[in-house]
Amino acid sequence: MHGVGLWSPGFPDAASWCAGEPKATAREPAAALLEGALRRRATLHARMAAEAFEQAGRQSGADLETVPTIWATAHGEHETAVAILAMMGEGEGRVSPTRFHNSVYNTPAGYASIALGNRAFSTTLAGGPDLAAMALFEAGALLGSGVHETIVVLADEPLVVPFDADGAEAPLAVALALSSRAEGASARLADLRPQGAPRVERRPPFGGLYISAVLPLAEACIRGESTRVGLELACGRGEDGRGWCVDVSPR
Amino acid sequence: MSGHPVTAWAMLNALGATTGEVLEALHAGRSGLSPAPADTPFETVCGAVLGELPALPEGLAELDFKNNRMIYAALHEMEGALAAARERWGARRIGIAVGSSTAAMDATEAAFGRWRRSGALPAGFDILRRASPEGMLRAVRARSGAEGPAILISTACSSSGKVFGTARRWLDADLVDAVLVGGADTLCQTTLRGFRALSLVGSEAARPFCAERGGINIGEGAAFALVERSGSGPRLLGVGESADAHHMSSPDPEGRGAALAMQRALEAADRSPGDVDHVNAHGTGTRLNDAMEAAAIRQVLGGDSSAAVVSTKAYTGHTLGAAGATEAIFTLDALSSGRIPASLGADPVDPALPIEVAVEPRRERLRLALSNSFAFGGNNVSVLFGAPE
Repeated sequence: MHGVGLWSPGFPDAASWCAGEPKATAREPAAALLEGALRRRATLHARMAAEAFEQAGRQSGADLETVPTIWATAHGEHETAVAILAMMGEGEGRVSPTRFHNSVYNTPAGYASIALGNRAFSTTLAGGPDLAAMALFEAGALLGSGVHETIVVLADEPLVVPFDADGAEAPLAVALALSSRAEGASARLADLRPQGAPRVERRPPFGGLYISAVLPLAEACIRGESTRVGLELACGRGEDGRGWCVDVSPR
Repeated sequence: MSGHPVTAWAMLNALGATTGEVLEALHAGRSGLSPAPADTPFETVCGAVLGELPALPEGLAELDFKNNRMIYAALHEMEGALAAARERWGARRIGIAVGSSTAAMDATEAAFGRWRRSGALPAGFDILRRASPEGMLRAVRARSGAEGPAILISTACSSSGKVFGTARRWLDADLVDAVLVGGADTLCQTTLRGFRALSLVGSEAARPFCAERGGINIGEGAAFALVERSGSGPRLLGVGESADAHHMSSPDPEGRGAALAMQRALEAADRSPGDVDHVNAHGTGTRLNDAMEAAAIRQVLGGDSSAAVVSTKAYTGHTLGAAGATEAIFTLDALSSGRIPASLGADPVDPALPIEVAVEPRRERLRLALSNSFAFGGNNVSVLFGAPE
């Protein structure tokens, strides 16, 4: 682990999150890599993901113009998708072209790649309570294929009316800069496996955001702890035994 | 031996309800396009899966959406191959990598309409766990019996091409012994009207690579393939993934990202462009895509390439998140049978395109074939397959 980026309202970076000290001024992600028209058109999802991505990338020293990326989101561009549903029920039912091209799950990946001129490998994963684990699994496979570094970006917003049943009240973006190089790492991850730790408890304000299951890992890396962390969110649906986990140790 | 064998596959789409029906129509040159759903507020044709599909079993009634019905119907055909793989490798050594652009958006549209009319969503409707990528993964897992790692890639129209890249990495790293790859997407108004808003939808059947091409048609379907550590079948040799870094919904007119994907697929497999005999192109039938893709193919394969380039979009419509896997299977079939389908609607071919488009079906022994998929966000994938060894 070579870098951890984080953005959520009140928490402009991973350090402020770990310190538990919200900053009232941090209401919008800086997302400095998105400029001009790109920035005006970008969704909050794309902007907060870009912000976390850039933080992790700068910490790791990765070349943002060439680094391969893995993005993960359970809800995708949910707010945009619901806005399109509303448009289709009004007047002639026309859809905004900008809204539509912003509606795909890989919108944050697309914006970041355009902003940086990055033509490297990029994938976007969606899924369930194990989404954070699957993003790390894919990252491990990518690093095993001859790629030396990658940045994993997990980002989601709460569901909106009328679908808002996940108990989440705030959006969250977390980015992890991973490398097969030991030199310069802040933490080492080992033995990612499917059944080794209790599921990660939900916590406010992120409720049922699946990607929030990555927070214990991010925190352990920042704090330099040696521990086993769960990566699968507890959902209270009767299947909350042990789930995906990874061992973390400081370098 | 090189690469990994693709040992079984199945699909359904507008051409038919079984793999056999689909391939029979493909090789007969019949299009599956039909008039758009009644609630479409403009004229176009679509690649709809017509007729009733069997419902999901009672225990999975909460996942009973058309998307998952298509998945169940396709995987039903692979029951024998999946049982043999479970027996051979163990269920936990079989991974799942599937793609979808919208998962069950048609169901979400219906639920939203109900909410607007009555103030309540349909009972039990759950956009997160059921009508969602998570719900689709649950359906694939339940029907396949695969218990290994399972991911869903959602990079719009390249989603189910990229699953072959995941399969290759997982097998090469010895994380699994087999990967069930595939994709599914369902026709919905969001994509129909969205592509219309971008002025990309044709009012008539798409004519990819034709001088008179006028836009895309949207389709739907499901397609799956089993990639194993060993076995017989055409080979998955290399996968190239790239980004355009150009625009969210328009391809780079110079085709640099598309060319990169094809180059990376060939490099990953250490194969020569001169051995590529067939390309199943992304070939949407828009002016811009077909021009940039033709230029990219020529750049990568060279000016003296006689590779037969085909788009199969005029048969099935553009099945979006299912397109990569659907067209990969068409490519696998071509390598196995030596039968290249005609690029339907291409005649007369645009003389400005510097490639050899197959306007008639061909029979020839093929060595290597590429299957291209390009997507919103400038996300590109090219999958290189080889003939059975």
